[in-house]
Amino acid sequence: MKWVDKIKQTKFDFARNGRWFIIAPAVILLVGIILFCCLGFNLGLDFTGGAIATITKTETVTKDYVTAKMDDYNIKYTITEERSTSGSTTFAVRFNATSDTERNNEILQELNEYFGDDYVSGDSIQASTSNEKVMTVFWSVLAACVGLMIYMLFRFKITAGITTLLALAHDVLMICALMAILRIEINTSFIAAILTVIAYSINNSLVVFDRVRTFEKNNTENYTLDQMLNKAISSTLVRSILTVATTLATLLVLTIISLIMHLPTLIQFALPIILGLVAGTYSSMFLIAPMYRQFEGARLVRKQRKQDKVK
Amino acid sequence: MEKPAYNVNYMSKNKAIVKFCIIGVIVLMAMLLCCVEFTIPFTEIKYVGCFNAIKSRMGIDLNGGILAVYDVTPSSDSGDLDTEVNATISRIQRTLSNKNYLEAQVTRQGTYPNYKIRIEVPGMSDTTDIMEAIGTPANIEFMSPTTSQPNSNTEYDANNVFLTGDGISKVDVVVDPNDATNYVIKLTFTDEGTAKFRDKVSSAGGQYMAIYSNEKIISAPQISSDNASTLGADGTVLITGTYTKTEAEAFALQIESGLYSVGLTASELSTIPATLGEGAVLAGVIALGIGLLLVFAIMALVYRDFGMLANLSLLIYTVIFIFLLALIDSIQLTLPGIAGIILSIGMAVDANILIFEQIKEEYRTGKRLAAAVHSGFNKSIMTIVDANMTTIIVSIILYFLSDGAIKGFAITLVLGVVISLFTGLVVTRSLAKLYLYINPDNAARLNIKLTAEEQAAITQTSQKPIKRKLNMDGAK
Repeated sequence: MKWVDKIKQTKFDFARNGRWFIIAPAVILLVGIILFCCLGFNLGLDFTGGAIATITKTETVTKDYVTAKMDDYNIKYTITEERSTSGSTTFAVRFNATSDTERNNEILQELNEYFGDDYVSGDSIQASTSNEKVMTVFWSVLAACVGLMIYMLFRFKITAGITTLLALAHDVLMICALMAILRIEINTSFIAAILTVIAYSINNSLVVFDRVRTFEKNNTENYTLDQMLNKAISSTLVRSILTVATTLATLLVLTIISLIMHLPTLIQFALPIILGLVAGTYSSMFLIAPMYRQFEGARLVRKQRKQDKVK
Repeated sequence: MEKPAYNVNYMSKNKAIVKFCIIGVIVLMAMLLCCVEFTIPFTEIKYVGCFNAIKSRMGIDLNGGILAVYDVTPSSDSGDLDTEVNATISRIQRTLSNKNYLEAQVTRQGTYPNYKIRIEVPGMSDTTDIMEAIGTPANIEFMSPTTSQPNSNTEYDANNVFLTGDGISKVDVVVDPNDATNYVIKLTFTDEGTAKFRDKVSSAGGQYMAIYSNEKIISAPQISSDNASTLGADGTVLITGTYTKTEAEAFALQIESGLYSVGLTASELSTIPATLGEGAVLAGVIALGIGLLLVFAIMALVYRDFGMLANLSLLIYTVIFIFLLALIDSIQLTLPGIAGIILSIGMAVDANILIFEQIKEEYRTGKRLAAAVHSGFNKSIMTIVDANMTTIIVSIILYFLSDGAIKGFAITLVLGVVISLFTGLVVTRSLAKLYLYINPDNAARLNIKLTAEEQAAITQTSQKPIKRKLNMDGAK
């Protein structure tokens, strides 16, 4: 295929245009931080908790029976429904009025009046994903990063390890910023999405550094650091695009099907991964080389100075 | 002379095609085995099929499960209710994980002081199972030793209680050290519990110590006078009696559930549907199916014949993955697990892409196709191993440090990556070797486009005759 090989032969200077490539992420991060400070994340019921009402209708009815009323309130809610063999339908409605907890009780009261005998029970409910759980994930991810760093110390240069971790931080920050900007609801599945993006990010950086390592080991054509980096990036471009395209294909299909089938939870799961994959591809193409160039360049200069002193 | 890398016995083109067909038929049959369900002829063994096996182990978010809500009664001593409820929640969570309900969710419901504990357990279909799993909660109390042997008529006296469930950290069933056919219950005390217990017991040799549960006497063992001074000094104590294993386990569960800091009474028990919504599984399966087809199409378009080889190897990957998911009992599939699967499919494709890009590069340096394939595989091994090793390391750390659903993500990811290492480095390689018998030197069929000077270099080499019979490594 012609375009595939055209991409590879690009003469684009990836290593020395870092100051331009950083603009887009910096803007997104800034807007993200501002929005986060003003509005916070759009946290779902998994994180906020709220109230739960159980409503049972003795005949088979659709969700509309409940949604018709719930839509009036303009609040976040989820409904799970169950049809028993005897023909009755039970709905568990979880909701949270973000304004205050008093409002939840008011709504429960109103639902009780509205549904009358069909209203079985109402109660407030704690967040199913506690801060404690989120912190457990946070610490285990941090420990995993340390593990990754140790492995990279053995297999690559320390500067490559640092760059990989920075690229990873970029990817995670980007999804968080985009979640704050796009106001996508964050639920437990977001944790899985972040982990997926982290794994992808590491994989992307490693492939590039593997190339750089090959060039560094066997530098017969006397390439400079910049040339090596540019060659490494351009020769992995096709791979980056194809790999990300194949995974995006599955996720986009999942999003479309979820849209058609009205499964908001699955969209909340697929969207952050899609954003993270795009961010990850961007960082592995445009950010890794300038960063590595800075670190490795500084290291080489220091090394040179040391050698000069010895002499 | 250089040793030929492919010291192969010559195989005719037709034979290679036949081999491909055989592989294809095997893969198709394996795929069929994933879906069908039958009783193996002449035996009683029922083969349930992989999809059914996986479906039965799906998490509450995909497949529903059991919901239990317990009313909380504060314990008699006036401790902080919030702390007690939270301690009970983590204790129930631990009990359920020990019983392999890793994805169970235990949350607090209601407001102070009318708390309820809500338990959602996936993979259960019968409401009585949950009672069996967390026990019929009852409190446990140790009474100060008495000289007369208490019996079932002895009246409960709250003033005599010197140790409650708070002092116990663990309950195990172990084989009686003195009699291998008998089972005993081993209690492990907390530091505080050990101190309290030692205080009472060390000078009470020959006396009886009653153990109460819900104000009913459940055991009144005699403290042996020989070892009263050392009893419980290591923080553990054995409750002996003539128990069979089942009896001992039932008793242990009774004590264990007595450890809950608050009293619990079931107020709601029901089966619940998938929390992600009906059809979430269907949506996931359709998406994965269409996604795979798209991947097949992209690979075939970009790499033509080698793309088809990659697709065959990806099919083999999928089949192995499905079989292992069905086989390994401890995997419970939830949404994060599916994320792990999508990610590892991506990595399996990635391995093939890395290899093919390397092969193209090798071919451009003027190597014969067979030689390019050979060194392409060799050179990309390190890249693929490094990229996958880091993923494995990260997932293993995640597995051991986190709980519940994240464990599911880590397991499926490790599993997927290990299989993709195998299919990428072994299966695709064998398929490529086989393919070279069918097409030893037509690079156009692999979509490799050359620049003019590269073309010149190739033309030069290709003027030398290929010694197909001897050596697939080809001359440079």
